[in-house]
Amino acid sequence: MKIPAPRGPVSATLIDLLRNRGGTGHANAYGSLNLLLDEALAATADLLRDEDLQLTLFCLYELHYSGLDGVEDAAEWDPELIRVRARLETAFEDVLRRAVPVPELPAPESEAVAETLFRLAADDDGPSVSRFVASKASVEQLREFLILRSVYQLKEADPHSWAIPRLPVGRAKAALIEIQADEYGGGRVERMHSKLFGTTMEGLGLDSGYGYYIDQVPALTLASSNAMSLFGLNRRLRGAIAGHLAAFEMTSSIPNSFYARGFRRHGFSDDVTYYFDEHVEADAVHEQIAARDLAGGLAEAEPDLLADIIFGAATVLAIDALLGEEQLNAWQAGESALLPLVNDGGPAAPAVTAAAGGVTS
Amino acid sequence: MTAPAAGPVDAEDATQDALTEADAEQADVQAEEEETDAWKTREGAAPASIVACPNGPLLVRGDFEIVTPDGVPVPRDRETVALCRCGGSAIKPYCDGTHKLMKFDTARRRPVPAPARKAAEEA
Repeated sequence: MKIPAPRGPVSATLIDLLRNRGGTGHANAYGSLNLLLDEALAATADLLRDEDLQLTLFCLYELHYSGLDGVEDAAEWDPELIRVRARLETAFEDVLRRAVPVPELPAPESEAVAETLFRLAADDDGPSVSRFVASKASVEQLREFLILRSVYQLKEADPHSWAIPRLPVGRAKAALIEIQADEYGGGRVERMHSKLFGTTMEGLGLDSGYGYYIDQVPALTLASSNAMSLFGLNRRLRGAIAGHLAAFEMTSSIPNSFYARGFRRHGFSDDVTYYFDEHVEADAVHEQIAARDLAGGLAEAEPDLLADIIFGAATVLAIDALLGEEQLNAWQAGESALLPLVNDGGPAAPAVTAAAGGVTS
Repeated sequence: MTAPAAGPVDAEDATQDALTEADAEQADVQAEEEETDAWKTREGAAPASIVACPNGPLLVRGDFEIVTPDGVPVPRDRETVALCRCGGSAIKPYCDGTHKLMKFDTARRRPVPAPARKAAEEA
């Protein structure tokens, strides 16, 4: 994806370093990146909402996905960058472990784990973006909603696919493969969920290029994506990524029917709403498999992972609640939920000019 | 997407009138054994299996068709499907997660009406 605009000294130094890897002053650049990171980590009041640090982590993770335009592919395994990433990850995981409320652990048995996860998802009473989208959101707010979701949805399923080789042969791995195959369209590119989301974006006049709107996406949304990459890319956190996917699927089918309703309310066609309609049906299947066979199956195979499975699931709900609160606060105040564009090089965005005009009931 | 009827189904159609069900089944097995090469057996779809999910849908995977009473295939977009059994889905026959809002409880049995219970006891 394109290189984002920096949001502070750490991301500025990283981006500069990525652009000039191998150039002169290379070693010094790593030194100053580490120093600036020390300072920023010590100074940050809220790592989840720290624009500079979440963007830095997002860029480091992106090297493992589609890469960054103009940056050597080899940067992915640059030991100095891995070291920086690991330090950021330690701080990030620490914040999540402290901030995410985790319920009492069930027995490490499939049905008990499924029951705990279903209860966790059912008890979730966070602010409801889906209900707002269904009944109140303006077309501009629908665009903002898509832009925020596009950070993950345009690479939908990828962060959880990291878990495939990390799960033991057995029920959990088979379950993950079954879910992921469906996410990627079951062999039909036109049914890939990431592709369907692009079609929905285009239906609202948005650019469906991966990362196109990255400069307008606030830290908390980046943190939501970074949490998936953290869990997916670290083998020791394979329990957390399994629990994450389970909770993700379990909080999806009903909200997606609300999203579809919101887009239909403004007269958008079935082609545009298809992404949401598809998820109503798909995730009603996936949640059953993810709860019992993936999360439950993994807990039975590796009981030591039980606490992380539940932690991963609880992380989805906790971050979603924060995200929902932030978005609804902005929209209800008549403001944009996106970051204002600071540089001229950013996307010319009709999506951010009229924040809350034309809210219909 | 509709799946064309598999070979064994055609065989059953042809023999249904003349044979009993048991005979038809036997014929099916024989026909399949004759027609199917070893590689096909390994590659072939597993027979359908249904997972009755507690408080949730029926999860169906394997080799199966969903048809209307007239035999017209019901549109199906994925290998494994979840069939509604709470009655609340807006996309029947598929599940849309509504059972969670209905607090659908598969462990709760409807009480047997008194006359039926009495009749059963007397029988």
